[in-house]
Amino acid sequence: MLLHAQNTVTVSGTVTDASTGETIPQATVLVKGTNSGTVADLDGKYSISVTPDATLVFMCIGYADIETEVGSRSIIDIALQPDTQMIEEVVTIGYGTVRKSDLTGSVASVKGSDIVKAAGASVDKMLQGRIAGLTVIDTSNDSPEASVIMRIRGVSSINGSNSPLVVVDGVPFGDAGNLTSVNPNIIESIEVLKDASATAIYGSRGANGVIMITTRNGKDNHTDVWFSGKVGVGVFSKPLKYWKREDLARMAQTSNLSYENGGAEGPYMGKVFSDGVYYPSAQEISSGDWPYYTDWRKYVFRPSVTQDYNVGVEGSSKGSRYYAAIGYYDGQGMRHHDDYRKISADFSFQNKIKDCLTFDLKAGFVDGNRTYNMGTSYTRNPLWPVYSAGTYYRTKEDDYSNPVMIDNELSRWNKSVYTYLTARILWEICDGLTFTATGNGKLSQSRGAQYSPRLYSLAGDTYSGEGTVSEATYKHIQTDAFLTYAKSIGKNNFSAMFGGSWESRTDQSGTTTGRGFTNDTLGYETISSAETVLTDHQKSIWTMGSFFTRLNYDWDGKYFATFTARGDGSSKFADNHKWGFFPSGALSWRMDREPWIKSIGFFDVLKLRASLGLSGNQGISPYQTLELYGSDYFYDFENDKELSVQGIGYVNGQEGLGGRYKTFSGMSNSDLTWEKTSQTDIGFDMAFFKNRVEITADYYYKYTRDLLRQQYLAPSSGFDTVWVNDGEIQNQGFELSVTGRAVENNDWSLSLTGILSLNRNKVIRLGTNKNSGFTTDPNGISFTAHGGSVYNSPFLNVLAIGYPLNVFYGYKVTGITQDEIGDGTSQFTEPGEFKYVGLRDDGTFDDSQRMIIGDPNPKFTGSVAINFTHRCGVDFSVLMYGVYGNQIFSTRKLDNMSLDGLYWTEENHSRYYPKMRYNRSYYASSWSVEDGSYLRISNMTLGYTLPSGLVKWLKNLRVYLSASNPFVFYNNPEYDPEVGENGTGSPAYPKVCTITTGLEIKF
Amino acid sequence: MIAAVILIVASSCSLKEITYGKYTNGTFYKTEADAESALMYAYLPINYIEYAQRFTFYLGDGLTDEFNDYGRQRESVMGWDMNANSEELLYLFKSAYISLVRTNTVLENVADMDIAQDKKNRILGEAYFLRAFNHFILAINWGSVPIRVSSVGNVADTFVNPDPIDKVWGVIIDDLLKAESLLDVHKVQGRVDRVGAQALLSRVYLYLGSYKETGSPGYDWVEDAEQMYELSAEYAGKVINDQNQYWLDPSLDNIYDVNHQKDGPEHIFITGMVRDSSGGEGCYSKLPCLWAIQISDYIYISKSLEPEKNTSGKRTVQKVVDWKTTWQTFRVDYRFRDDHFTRDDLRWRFMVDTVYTETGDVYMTFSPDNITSSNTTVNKYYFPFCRKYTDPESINDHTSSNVYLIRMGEVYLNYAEAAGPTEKGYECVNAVRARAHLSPLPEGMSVTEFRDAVREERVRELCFEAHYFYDLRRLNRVNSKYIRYRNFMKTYAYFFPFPQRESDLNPQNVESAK
Repeated sequence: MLLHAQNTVTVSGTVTDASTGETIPQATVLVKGTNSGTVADLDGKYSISVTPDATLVFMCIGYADIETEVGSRSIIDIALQPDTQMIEEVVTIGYGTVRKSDLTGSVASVKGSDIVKAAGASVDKMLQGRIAGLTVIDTSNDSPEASVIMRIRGVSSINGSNSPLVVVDGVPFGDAGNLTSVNPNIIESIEVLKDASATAIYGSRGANGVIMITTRNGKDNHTDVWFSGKVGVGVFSKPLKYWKREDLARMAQTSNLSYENGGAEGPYMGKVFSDGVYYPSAQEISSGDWPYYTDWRKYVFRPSVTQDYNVGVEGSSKGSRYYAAIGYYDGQGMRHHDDYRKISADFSFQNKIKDCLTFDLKAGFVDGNRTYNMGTSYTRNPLWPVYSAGTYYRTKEDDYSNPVMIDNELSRWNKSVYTYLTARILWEICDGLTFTATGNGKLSQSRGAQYSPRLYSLAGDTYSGEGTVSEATYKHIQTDAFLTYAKSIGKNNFSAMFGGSWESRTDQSGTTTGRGFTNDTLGYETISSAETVLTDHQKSIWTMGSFFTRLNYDWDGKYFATFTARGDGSSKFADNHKWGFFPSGALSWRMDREPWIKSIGFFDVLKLRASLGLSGNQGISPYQTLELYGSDYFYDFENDKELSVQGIGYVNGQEGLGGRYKTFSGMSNSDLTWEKTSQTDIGFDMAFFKNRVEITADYYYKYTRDLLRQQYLAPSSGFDTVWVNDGEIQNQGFELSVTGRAVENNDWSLSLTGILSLNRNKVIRLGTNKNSGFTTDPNGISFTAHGGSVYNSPFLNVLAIGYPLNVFYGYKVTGITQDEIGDGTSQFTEPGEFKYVGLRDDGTFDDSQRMIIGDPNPKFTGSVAINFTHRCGVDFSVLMYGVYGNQIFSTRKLDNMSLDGLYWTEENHSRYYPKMRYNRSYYASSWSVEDGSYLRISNMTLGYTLPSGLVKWLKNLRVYLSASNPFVFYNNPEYDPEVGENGTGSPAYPKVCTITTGLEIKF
Repeated sequence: MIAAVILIVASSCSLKEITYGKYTNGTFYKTEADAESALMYAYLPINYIEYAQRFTFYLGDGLTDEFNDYGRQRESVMGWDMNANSEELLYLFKSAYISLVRTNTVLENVADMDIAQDKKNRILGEAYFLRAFNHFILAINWGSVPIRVSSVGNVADTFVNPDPIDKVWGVIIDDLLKAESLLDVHKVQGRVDRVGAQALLSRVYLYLGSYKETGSPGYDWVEDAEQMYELSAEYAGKVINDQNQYWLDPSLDNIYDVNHQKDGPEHIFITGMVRDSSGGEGCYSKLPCLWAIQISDYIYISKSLEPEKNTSGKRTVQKVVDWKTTWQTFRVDYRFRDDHFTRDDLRWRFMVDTVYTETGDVYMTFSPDNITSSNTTVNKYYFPFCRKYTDPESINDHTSSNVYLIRMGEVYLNYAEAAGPTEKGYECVNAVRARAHLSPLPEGMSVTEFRDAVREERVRELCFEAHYFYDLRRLNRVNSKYIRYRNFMKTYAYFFPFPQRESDLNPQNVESAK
């Protein structure tokens, strides 16, 4: 060291841009092989002490690195070449990449680092509001696994999957929405392929759009070690309504009133009620004779703490790059035991074996550990104490709903291990010709257990203890290989890609249920000694083979044409319908490269795009083309034993109120094939004011044919549904994305991104006339039920020809009846009841008066992101997300009625709320339909980045504080307006606001 | 390139769908046990709540004077508030066809199996019985319905016209005759044997005879009522005389005792639901909860219908069900009891008017005034509930209480009604009366008087067993003389509305009730 020190020389110089000659501020100057270096000043000047044998590396984002030996020089001026690869942003598309400027399809992209602002188990949730045309609906709220509903450009299928296909590092992964196996912190970029030109390369699975995720890969000439840590605390974003202690007497009176109005004596009479429970009288409550008051919110909920730590290293040595990261995530729901912990490790290695041969390997695993809340509810009567006589208080023998008892005595967990490995070879056979082959394997194993002990659970008491152990595994193998050839002749540029792929997935699961345990101490662990042991074993295999091609042509970088086609053969479909062919074509025109546009001097980018194509959907489970058997139990009195018996037809669901009726499936359909969506897209990209304003706009029209849907069958067939291909729906819409860098100077910058998406969908046909699965009501509305029951109506959502998907069908309510109608024999005609259109004086309903009463589809969704950074290192960003013009079916409205005392009474003739009545039959009606529009502040982040160079050994240090979902503005009675896409699903409690503090360090 | 080609070739070879662990027609019906298993699977829909565990009660009893809603909420179909969309009608209809599709698959596959002939005959015979039973249920509810005598293999097979009503009954009789010829006498709970086929034949011929005799709508095509009665008596006679495993159980208690369903000589066809089944509802039943009232935690009733034998002054009692929550879905109208029963009739006590404490003291008695009582315990005992369905050893609300689909008492009454006032006819009806502590019918009645007396006996004997309404239909009695306390709907008096879903999804269909 000393010796070297004596030999140091000081080198200085200026860093400039080779293409413009201007100086480059703040370029990094490193001594190769060490961590020491310096940063050039704002004028591009630098100075550094080094030994003469050192090599300096000059680096700046957007430029290619340059290495030079110092030798005897003391002034080294460097001109960095703009890195075209960097400036010309490269976008990942299926089986290849393309320069963003050359794209002919509609593709949006987002950087991983831009969206990972809070701790999260998967990236899906974080995409809300980030991409035009991508809808993310988060109804799981506080679930630590955070699954969401994702839709690209609306819903194009009825019963088939509507989720986009996720492709991770070039390997198709499956439906989007619950991507817990990919660590969000290692995501480099996400591309969303929206139009048919972009998605047709994924053929049969492209109809719902494709989300391409590229994970980090290591960087040349850097060796970075990084750490990121996030700790988030979640609290409800608004208070949960609850009965106060002083309101308990009113609660009892209101409840009694609802019974009296229903012609029965109320429960709060200071005696045992008909449900076998003693209820104190209102008098006992107000006098304090009944001393108990429990705020169950305190027992059911907790502030959730979510932690997410990741450490990684990335770097390179001669010919190879590597990247490795280890992550630990510990997420909590708001209720006890609702936890998910995972440890993930990901590794990426890329090596140039020879100049023409590159080997690429990615591998990793996720070890997940999920525990579940067993169904605690804060809605338990606040008059019940937690404990009584040294044990859990129960209202009667079969009261199993004390939340504290549930938390302490019941448990269920699931542990999973997921591993993956992707190997890829890139072989540059000769100039322009490249061969790529990829193999990917994914394995997952999960194991779960649950035990229902005696005394604390109904199943435990019924069966003398019931334990379940379950296991599920899957193996998913995919291989693909393709050739890419590029050639330029004069101004003509060609490229062609051709390849094939093979994919197979095997799922297996087993469940063992034991009933009759001698005692409860060891729970499910002694399942083999249970009196009765029931087992179930399932397996399914699905395979798909494909070939695909893409041909690109452009002339002089101005006129582009792309043709894509894919053929897919899937085992899921009938013998002579296994193969589907999905072609697409697109054209684009870089108008800004035309001299006459250049002469205007305004546009930096002006590109017109148009595409047309066909993609498919195969989102059904395997074996639907065959007749399938079901099983049930039959007691054989001849031999005095229970038999598991089999026969044609199996239970595939429930329907009717409370799902009380079984539905059967199992009939074969030997004609089942793909669902096909054709899509036309016209769009433009433009940039002006020196690229400070960028606008992308698209109009699309999607038409889906051969809808894969579950056809209802005539009951005389003995089956309820069979998968068929018929029906047609259309989606059309408009997407606009505007980014403006309003202020950009040496001191601060401010950028804004606005995204607007609107989609209109419509059911065009539901099958042929002969094979019709729909009902036509007396008003001429042809519809078929599409969803479960609400209240006493067997369905709410329908698919109605000529109407948007999922519209609400039911009675219209025009107010509250103030004067008695009819002869008073019916509960529906009394004062204080709903005034239904179609209610006859005798209290019966004319069901031909039902109508479309609401539409859950938004008129538009939009978001605004604001980013502010200051030279001192402070940055601030806000993301707002809004949904406008949709309606929801609000059931919370009824709960608020008693709590807020809004109900109709003899004295207070409400014209809006009915009277309290415990035994009222409720129908799907317009009374429950509410405006679902909302505006949410999705995220606010305040960060501070230590200016580079301040601490020599630190490359980057950033701390931040972020708030997710801090505020939401809406006008309906729900705790949160974000409900399912069919407009139903009342959130049980408000959205969780998570305050996260984070630290990112890079050495 | 080569690799890609290989991949494509490989893929086209193996896209064949191979099911694993899921039977299809090609992988089942290999052994005798398979055949038996599929047959048992075909029996199961009868146990569903949509079928005999609930909805046949809604219609067979719920539409008559047996029940009253006492001004409280009830299932709308039981108030005659029915239309083509009524779910009870849809799901009963559907369940019969679910059993039929399973039955036909059994018949088609077992016929060609290489198994012992006697086993094969038994399975085929039971399947023919089941096919007849399901078509019978469809016929007495809707009349003209699609006949299903072959399996459904694709969507095109689902489009069938409803067949004329005479064809439906023709299939029922043909299938029962086949069943009779294939089956032996072999009594097993949950299944049927030759006696079951003969018993149902006696009911089928009795229905046809009386439909015709009384001019009940839709049955002009029956040629000769007397011939039908003769056949009914012939088959009832075979049941009564030509076997030794079933007989009229001398004890009424025994018939409805959950512990004697298996060995009770009365039961010719009874469902086989068991309280400790591993399956869902339908493998066990919740029947007692539908009938019992809820006054206190557990409802105790006298163990026997007979007068108390012990002299302590206390009644020997049993629980209705070992479960505290009941639904009171079927609320017996005390006026039905008063109109049809005398107090000396043992069957009066099927409608419980006294409940006891656990130790056998009287806890409360029923009075029609209870409902208006200000005493909140008394006013819960507002109807004399039916005790034909009990299980004191239930596991929570999982019970072994079963549905009495065919029993000897009915066959005796079939015989008496069909044969008329013959010596044997008197013998049969008087045997049923004697069991209920009633004196014999007076000698020398005319045919009409005698048949009416037997039909009235049938009301008392088979009430709450889903017979009454169908008897009213076949006797052309769905009118205000016989339905006194209910507002019945004339439109659907003799045939229920054809399910809307069936007409909508099977476009060739026309409403059968026209």
